[in-house]
Amino acid sequence: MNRRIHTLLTTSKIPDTVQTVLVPGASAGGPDDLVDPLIDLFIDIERRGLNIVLHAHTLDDLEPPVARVCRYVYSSDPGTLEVASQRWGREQVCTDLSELPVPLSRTLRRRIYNALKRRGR
Amino acid sequence: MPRTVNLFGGDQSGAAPRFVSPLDQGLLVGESVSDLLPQVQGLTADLNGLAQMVAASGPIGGRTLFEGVYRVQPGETLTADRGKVRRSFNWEWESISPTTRDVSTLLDAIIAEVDSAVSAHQVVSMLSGGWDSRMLLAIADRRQAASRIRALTTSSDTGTIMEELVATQVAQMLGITHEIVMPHRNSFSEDLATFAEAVDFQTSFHVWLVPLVRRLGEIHPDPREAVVLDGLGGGLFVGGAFSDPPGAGTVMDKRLAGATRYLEGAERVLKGPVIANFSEAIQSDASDIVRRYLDHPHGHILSAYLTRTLPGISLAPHGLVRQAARIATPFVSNSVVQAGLSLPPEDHAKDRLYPLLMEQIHPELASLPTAQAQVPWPRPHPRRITSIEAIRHLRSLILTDPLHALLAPELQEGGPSYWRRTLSTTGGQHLLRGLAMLSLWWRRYQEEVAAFDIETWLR
Repeated sequence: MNRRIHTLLTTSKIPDTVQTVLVPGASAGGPDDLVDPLIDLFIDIERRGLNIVLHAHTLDDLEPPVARVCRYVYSSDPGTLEVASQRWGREQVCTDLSELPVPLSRTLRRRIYNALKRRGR
Repeated sequence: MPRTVNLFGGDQSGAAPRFVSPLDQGLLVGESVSDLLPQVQGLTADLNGLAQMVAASGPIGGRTLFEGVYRVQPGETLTADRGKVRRSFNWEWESISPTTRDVSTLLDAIIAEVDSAVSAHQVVSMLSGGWDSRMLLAIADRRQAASRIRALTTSSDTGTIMEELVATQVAQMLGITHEIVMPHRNSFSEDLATFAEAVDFQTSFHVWLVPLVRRLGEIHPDPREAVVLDGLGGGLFVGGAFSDPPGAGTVMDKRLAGATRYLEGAERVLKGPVIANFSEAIQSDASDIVRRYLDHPHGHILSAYLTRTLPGISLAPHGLVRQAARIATPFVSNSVVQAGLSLPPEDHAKDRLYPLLMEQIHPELASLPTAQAQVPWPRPHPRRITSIEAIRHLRSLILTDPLHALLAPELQEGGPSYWRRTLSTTGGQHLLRGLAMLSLWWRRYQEEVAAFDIETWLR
């Protein structure tokens, strides 16, 4: 289990160590509509500057409102990857989650900066 | 279609563009520059207008990208005079001074304008995560059945999805049908070209609206069917946008620096003489405007309206969106501007009027934080314009003649990573978008323009 990747199965708080939130596609039981309390959770994820990755299993997974606020697509299905590349851009599509960049908010430099800021320095 | 008149008077806002060109007998008047051009003899590029389009918001003070074609300014009357144009002004907005601290007149004016715009129409809100579109939608919702209202949101390509999330919250609180339109990476070039034609190549602001307008056309194929509520001018006449920044320097210098701010760091993009010429071109027209309102209590608002809102931002609703729907811009109506400028600048500062007004319209929405208030730093997501797809297209437009000669050697020789870093800065992105627009303009008109001496910018 990778502590830096969190699969969104419930709307409970995302652990502090997480860098990437993996949102299961609707075909795999993931969220479809952006409704409360999911919106609040997404706002929290966004405020923390984390990667938001749609795990798309089928082409239909690319359509729902939740998919439209994900900024990366992860898939192993060639047809889904091709369409996702056209819409999200080829750099935003991956077949391996370890390829994703460290979010800017979670780089060592930024974490040190934030820690110093919290101490009022 | 253009028509010929002897005298033409613009309205007080000047937001809906009207263009004129002198003929031997009278004035040719039209709603777009391209409508007039077939009848303009000896088409000549207006180099100052072009420089202002690239490095500011758009051609300032009634210029266009062509000499002899003018955009009618607020309160302006133009008269034909033997093949020339005589211009006179009676702009009522500049005579409005603060007289009250009562916000009720402003609220009543906004409500009346929205009511009048939405009656008997399907209503479409271009809903962002900010105050202006939220206020217009909430007022429309009080007057219209929810089934006749729809909200659309897209990414304004600022590297965050907070706009989409907050807009969704607003629509759900109001029970309005809402759709997020995701801009596709592979349609960047098409979006840029569509926007360029719609605004007569005069600005590169708000290209990101194109996917939303395309979706609007799918929902309402007949442009007369729906009215779009647009927040143009809200940040100025209700909010506190473009207040003079604190710190050293004269007010004149600060306001002029605002007009040329996209040239900060321009050496990554342009050669030194080009930067100097662009700066001169902007200042030559902006300084007259800034000086005119230097002692006005709302001088920062009037200056920003004439140098930024009108030349650039107004063209998105009134050039692009109007192709798909009727357009309503309540915040630049006379009654709203009159009421807004009757309040002192300190009441507008820090957007403090918005929650006060929203409290009267929809108390729950008054306490919902805007996207801007929650935006993370650093911005977490790559912007569409920094994608490899967009960079390839921008390079194909900009790294060509005649623009090539204007570019800094680092940009000419730099690879995609140099372009990406430049596009990640506010000024760099603005200049590259402007240069792409200039390239599209040149491709469109190179056969027709008799004179376009780009070397002038290198001297």
